[in-house]
Amino acid sequence: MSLTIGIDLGLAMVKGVAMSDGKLMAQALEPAGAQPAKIAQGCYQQLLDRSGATAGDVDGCMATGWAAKRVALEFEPTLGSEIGCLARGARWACGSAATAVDIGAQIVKAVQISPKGRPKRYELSDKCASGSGRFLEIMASALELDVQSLAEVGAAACDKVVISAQCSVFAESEIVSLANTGAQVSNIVNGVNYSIAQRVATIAMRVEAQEDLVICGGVAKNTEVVRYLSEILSIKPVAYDIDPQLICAVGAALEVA
Amino acid sequence: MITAGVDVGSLSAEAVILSDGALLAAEIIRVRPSPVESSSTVMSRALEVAGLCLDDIDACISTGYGRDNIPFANKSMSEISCHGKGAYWCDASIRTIVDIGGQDCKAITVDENGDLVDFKMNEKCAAGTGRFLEIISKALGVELEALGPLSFQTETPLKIVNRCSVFAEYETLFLLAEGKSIVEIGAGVNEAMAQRAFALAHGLKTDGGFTVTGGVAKNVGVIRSLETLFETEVIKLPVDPQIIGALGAAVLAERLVESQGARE
Repeated sequence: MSLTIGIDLGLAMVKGVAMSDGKLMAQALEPAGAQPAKIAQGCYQQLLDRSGATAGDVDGCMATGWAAKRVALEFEPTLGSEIGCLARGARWACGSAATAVDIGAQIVKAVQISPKGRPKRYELSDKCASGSGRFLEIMASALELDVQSLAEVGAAACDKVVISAQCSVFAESEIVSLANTGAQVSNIVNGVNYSIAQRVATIAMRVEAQEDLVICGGVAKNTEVVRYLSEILSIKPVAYDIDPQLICAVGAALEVA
Repeated sequence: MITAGVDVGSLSAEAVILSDGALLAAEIIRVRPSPVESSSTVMSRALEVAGLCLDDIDACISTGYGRDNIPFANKSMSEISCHGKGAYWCDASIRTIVDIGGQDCKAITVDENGDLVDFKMNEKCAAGTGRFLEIISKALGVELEALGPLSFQTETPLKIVNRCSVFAEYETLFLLAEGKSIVEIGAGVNEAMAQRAFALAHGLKTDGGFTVTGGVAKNVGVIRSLETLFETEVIKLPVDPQIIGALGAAVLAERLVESQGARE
């Protein structure tokens, strides 16, 4: 067997895939914790076990993501650019993808993809947590909700509270005081989902987002954020059938194939 | 003449009472759920210390984030003017004031009368505010008050790369997990904080006496880093640096009384 492995070390999660001939053979998803190197090593082993392979079957391995450069990884991967892996993974998910938007725990990335599948232009969320998955987590915990429930809670709202603060820290105080002064939690959540979509949309617009659009990253699991984003951009994102958090790891595995 | 100033911030509220230019009382409390409640609580404490009642006050000015609709204030004014005036009242050589509060940071310049010349302000992002220090000290497991002195315990502060408070919190946790010392991280946090304030003041004409006000002025590590960055000594104020906004409001209330004539 001939495998390539891609591992994406994000702020919240470590994501890994094993691929063979463009096919997904195995996947691993683990919370990054404070020692992402250890977690990545564990993911690497899981991928081998789940594909029934040994280290000898691995033809190439690439690591990408925020912590990839920061930590020493025992399996000695090639380092891959986050943008390159995102474009590659998006093209794998949709052969005609022209734009990819990755909404991660830490950074929002938008990339315009060339016909050949390479990144043409990209924009990042400028080292600020607003618009990121971490923003959603902070808001969820301030409202004592599970971050996974935000889409459902927001969708049930009858109104949308405007969240004026962009800074996560200030927005947290803002929603706590909104809740204390009697605003309905579902309406606040609806506003939170919308405010994230707005932030992400401005970044996507800077690369002139167009069809076909792939939205990925952990926040892509929040269907309300995706719905609002699609409304603001007037683009319907393409559907694909793997976990949206895995796209960059897929791109990494393909980059070393 | 007896005047008062009340400053309702995002994290704390202060009240100051002046009697013919002398400081009678200055009180600080943690904010209550509503600005009105915060202002009345802190003002009653100040009145109690001064042995006065509300009717003895000739004029009161409110300032700060929660300055509107304070029932006992004759007027509300921006905290920019109040901080300038309050610092100048303490030392007339002061021309530049950096005020670092709970949720904003301001660089203010005043003229030879203590009146506002120019200012810059960050109120959009928690980086460079007291909230930033609160978040990081919590992540470090260090009391907020203990953070400042850490700068004096090491020559090698660590560089905090992230500007965003949320990510700097993560960075702190990672540095701890990597086994870095709390002292070096804490000193790095103080330095990062000072750099934000210094960057904010860029472009202002910062000659003359320099001082720091607001809650963060109590952090000796931030003060030392600011002295290095601004290449000048920080003038130490004779009063608690957190009451400067309320003090300035009380000073400006004197003007209000003068312009309207004494009540009697």
